[in-house]
Amino acid sequence: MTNNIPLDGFTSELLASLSQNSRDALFRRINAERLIKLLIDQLIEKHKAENIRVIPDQQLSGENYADYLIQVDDYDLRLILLDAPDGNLVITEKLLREWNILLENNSSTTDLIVVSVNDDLLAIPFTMRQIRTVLGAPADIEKLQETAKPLEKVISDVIYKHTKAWKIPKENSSQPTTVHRDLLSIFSEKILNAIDAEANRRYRTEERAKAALKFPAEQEKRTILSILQEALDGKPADELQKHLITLSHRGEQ
Amino acid sequence: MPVTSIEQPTYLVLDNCVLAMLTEWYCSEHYGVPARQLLDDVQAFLLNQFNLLRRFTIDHLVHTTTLVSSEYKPQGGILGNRGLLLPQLNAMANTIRGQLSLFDADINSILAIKNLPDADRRLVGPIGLTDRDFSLIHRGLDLTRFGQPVLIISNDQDLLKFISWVRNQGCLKTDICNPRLLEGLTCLTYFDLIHRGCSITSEQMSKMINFMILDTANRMNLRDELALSPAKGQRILAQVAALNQEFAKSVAIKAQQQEARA
Repeated sequence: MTNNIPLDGFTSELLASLSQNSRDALFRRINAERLIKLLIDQLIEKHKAENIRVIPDQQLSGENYADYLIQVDDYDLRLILLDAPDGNLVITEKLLREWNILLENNSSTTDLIVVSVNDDLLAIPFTMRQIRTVLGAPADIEKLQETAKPLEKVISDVIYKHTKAWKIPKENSSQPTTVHRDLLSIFSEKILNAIDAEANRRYRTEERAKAALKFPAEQEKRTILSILQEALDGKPADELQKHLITLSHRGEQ
Repeated sequence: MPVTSIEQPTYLVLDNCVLAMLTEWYCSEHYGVPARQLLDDVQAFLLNQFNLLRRFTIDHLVHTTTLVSSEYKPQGGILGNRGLLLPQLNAMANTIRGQLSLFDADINSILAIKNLPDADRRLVGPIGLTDRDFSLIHRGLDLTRFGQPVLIISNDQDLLKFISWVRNQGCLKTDICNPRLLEGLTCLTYFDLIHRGCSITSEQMSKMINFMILDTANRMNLRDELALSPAKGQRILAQVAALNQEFAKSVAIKAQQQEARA
C-alpha cells in the first residue's frame, strides 16, 4: 500500500485556493502550474540542462515576488502567472511599474516572463529595458497582447539569447592543420615515451619481468600512432574502435 | 475573496492512494487502540468519509475502477503489523470496496490514452504511470459524457500532471466525451475545501496535514525507492512553515463561514 503524499502539490494547490476567487479560476491556476512544471521538466530533459532549477518565488523576495523563479547558470528568469479567463493577457501600466520594481530589486533576474493562466499558456517576456520603453509610450501597452507566444518557445528563446556562442573567425581556417601537426607530434612524443618506460620497467618478481619482455613495444607504437593519425584525419570512432581492440593486453602476444 | 468551499458538485473519481492515506492517518492517530477495535473503528471512519464525499457529488456515488480498487490492501500498512488475521483485513477491505462504484476499464481505451501523440514519455513510459492510473483517466473521460465536471482525487503528482495535460487534447473530444470537463486535485486540497465549508473539523484537517509532514520526514530517513534526498527533504520541510501559515488562513475562512451562517 503506497502512501506517496505530495507536499509540493498540496502546497501549491492550497496557495491557489487562497488566492483565486472562484472554482474556475482555481482550476485554471492549478492546471497552468502543473503544465508549466511539465513543460520545464521537458525543457530540462530536452537540453540535458541540469543547471536549470525551478522554485516557487514567494519566500525569496519579500513583497516584490513573482510566482516561479527559474535559475539558469548564473542568471534567473521569473515567471508571473496572470489569470486570463478569456485567453487574453490584460497588462496594465500599474502592473508594468510593479514588474519594473521587481526587476530593479533582483539584479540577477534578466527576464520577467508573464504567462497567461489558461490552457494555452501564452507568454510575453520582458527585460527592464523593454518595460521602461513601453512605460515611455503607454499607448503601446494594449499592443503587447499581440506579441504573446507559447511559453515553451519564449523560455527557449530567452535561454538561447543568454547562451554564449563561440565564434571561430574564418581567417583562422588554416589553423586546424597546425593544431593537427602539433597534436600529432606532442601526442606521439608522450606515447612513445610511455611505451618505452613501460618496456623498461623493472619488476621484483620473475613472472612479471618475463611478461614485460613479451610486451610488443614497437608494434604497439606503430599501431597507436597509425590510429592517432586516422583519428586526426577524421575517421569515425567506431572504425577506430576496431583497431584499438586489436592492441594486445600487457604480456600477451 | 478566496475559494471558500466546494461551490459546485461534480462527479468524483477516487484513486487508491487516497484510501491508503486516510487508513494510515486514522491508524497512526489511534495506534494505542486494541487491534480488533482499531479495525472496526477505521472501517467506520472510512464509511463516514464516503458519506461525506457523496454529499459533494452529482450522482451521490464515489467512482473508481476495478483495477484501482484491487490495490487497496490494508495489510500493507499499519494494520498489517497489528497481528490481525488476513481474512479480517480482507473483510474490511471488501466492505470499503463495496462503497465504490466500480468500472471495468477497457484495455484498448487505456492504450489509446497512453499512446496519445506528444504525451510526455516520462509519464507514459515504462517507469511512468501504470495501467491503473490510466484506468482512472478512462473512467473520468467516460463520465464527461453527462456534460458535468469530473474530479479525479489522487495524491500522485504525475497522474495529476497528466490530467492537466490530457484535458487539452482536442483529439479526445467527441460528441460524448469532453476532456475539458476533467480536473484533478490532491486529496488534502479537496478535504481542505470541504473543511472550509464546515464539514470537517479544523482539528482533523490540521492532524491530517501534520501526518503528511511527518510522513515526509519519515521518508527522508528511508532507503527504499520512496526515500527523498536530503536536499529535497530540506526544501520540502522549509515549505512546512509556509504551509501551516496558509492553513491558518483556511481556518480563518472557515470561521467567517460559520459566522455568516450564525
